[in-house]
Amino acid sequence: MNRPANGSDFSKAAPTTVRDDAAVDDPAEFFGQWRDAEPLRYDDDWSGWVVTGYPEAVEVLMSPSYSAKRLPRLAGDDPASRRVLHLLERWIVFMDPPDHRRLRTLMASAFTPRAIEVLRPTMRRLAIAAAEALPSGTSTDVISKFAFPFPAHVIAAMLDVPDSEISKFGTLSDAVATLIHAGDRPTATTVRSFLDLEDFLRRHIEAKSSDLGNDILSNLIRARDDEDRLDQDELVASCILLLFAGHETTKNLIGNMLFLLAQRPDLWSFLRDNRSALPTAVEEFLRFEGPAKATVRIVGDSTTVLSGKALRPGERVLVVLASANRDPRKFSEPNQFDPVRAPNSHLGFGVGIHYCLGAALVRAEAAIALEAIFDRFSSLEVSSAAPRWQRRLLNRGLEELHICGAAA
Amino acid sequence: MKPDRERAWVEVDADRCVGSGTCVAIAAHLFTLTPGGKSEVVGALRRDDVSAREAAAACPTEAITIFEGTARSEGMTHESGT
Repeated sequence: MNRPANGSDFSKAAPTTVRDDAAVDDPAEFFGQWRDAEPLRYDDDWSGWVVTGYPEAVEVLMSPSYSAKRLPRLAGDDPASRRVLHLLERWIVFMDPPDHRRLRTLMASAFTPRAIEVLRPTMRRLAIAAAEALPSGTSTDVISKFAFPFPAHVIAAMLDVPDSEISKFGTLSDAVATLIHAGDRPTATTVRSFLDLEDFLRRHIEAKSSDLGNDILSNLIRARDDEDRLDQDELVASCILLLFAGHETTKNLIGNMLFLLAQRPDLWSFLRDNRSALPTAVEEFLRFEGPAKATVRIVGDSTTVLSGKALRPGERVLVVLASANRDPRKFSEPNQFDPVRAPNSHLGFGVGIHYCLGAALVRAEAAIALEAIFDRFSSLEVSSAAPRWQRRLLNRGLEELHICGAAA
Repeated sequence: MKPDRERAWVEVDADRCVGSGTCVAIAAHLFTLTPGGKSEVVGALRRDDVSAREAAAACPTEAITIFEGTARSEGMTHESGT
């Protein structure tokens, strides 16, 4: 990394591309510098615009001038890769209105706060089981032993997917992350694991079709069969999306929360003793170290002016939620973690029509996970050298987090 | 100001609203986000304005209610929005 000692020109003084390691290791610092100098700039190396300020991020995410259809560059040219792309194009996160509206409305009812409330006892049971399986007094990786299995079991229960399938989620996540984060062509392995899951889900859906209940999968099947509002590929693709989104980002959030808590005994004690502060604390974790570091949009059919600059049709825009969430124009003391911050209009779930469908689920899972950990341990310590952050541009999450907890 | 009983109007339940901005993105002429991060109704609802229904159906916390005369439909997540 070149960093001239006396660079008064910002573009020479700091890393000039989001591909820099610093964007992964310390995104708050890296993107914070960009935001404070120039909340919208063009990254020649990444070949796209980078939005790092709060009002600018909100403007992009709220405006119909930007498209969420950001997949075409990933297209591989063999039939299997095209099949994967075909399914990914049916994910609501990559759709624009009006198709987005139709699918989103279908799925939204399963994720309202009222619907999630019903799942709380199941979530508590799964969180307690996962926490009690953690050893005390010895080092353990809480990412693979807690942050992953807890939300994975919750979303599996919601879709009535057997536990035996859960071990495959990790491969699915790697596959999807490689596809949508790296922007690479799909590898043979990622394609195969994706299509294996498709096969499983087709069989699962057909078996389920003759035994419908009140769960989300049954409701989606009814939408396909009775109302013709959802076709078969959309149904399968939506299930893959729910399985992926339902565990991957929550895993990262739980890991980020535990990492921060293990480094901040004061915060650990405060929240452990003041459980009523958990809802605002969860919002602050989402703002301060949320799992969605950035998201991508494509400029639509006409040139769009943002922050005094002209963005041309087809250009891509990286919207950095992590630095918007630390924007001093929006948040006082943005680099301080305030467990009772209110209001807290963070962009951890995005904003606008693509606002995280699972937000209520994530909020419940995060608080329930912390409660289970507080009940299991009286204190936590990071027991390995500096944990490594996933080398992802869009995600903020730890690869592993070895922690030693004292039994409560 | 009391809403006219003969006309349609829309309300946002501030306790339920989480400031997702979904309604603002769909119908900016009807909703805005306050600095405190809640949606607020800023426009009058015309009966033929389907975007209010779309916003209500899309709201992730069912915080939007549309009143039409004395009739009332709430949390219209099952409406197709047409």
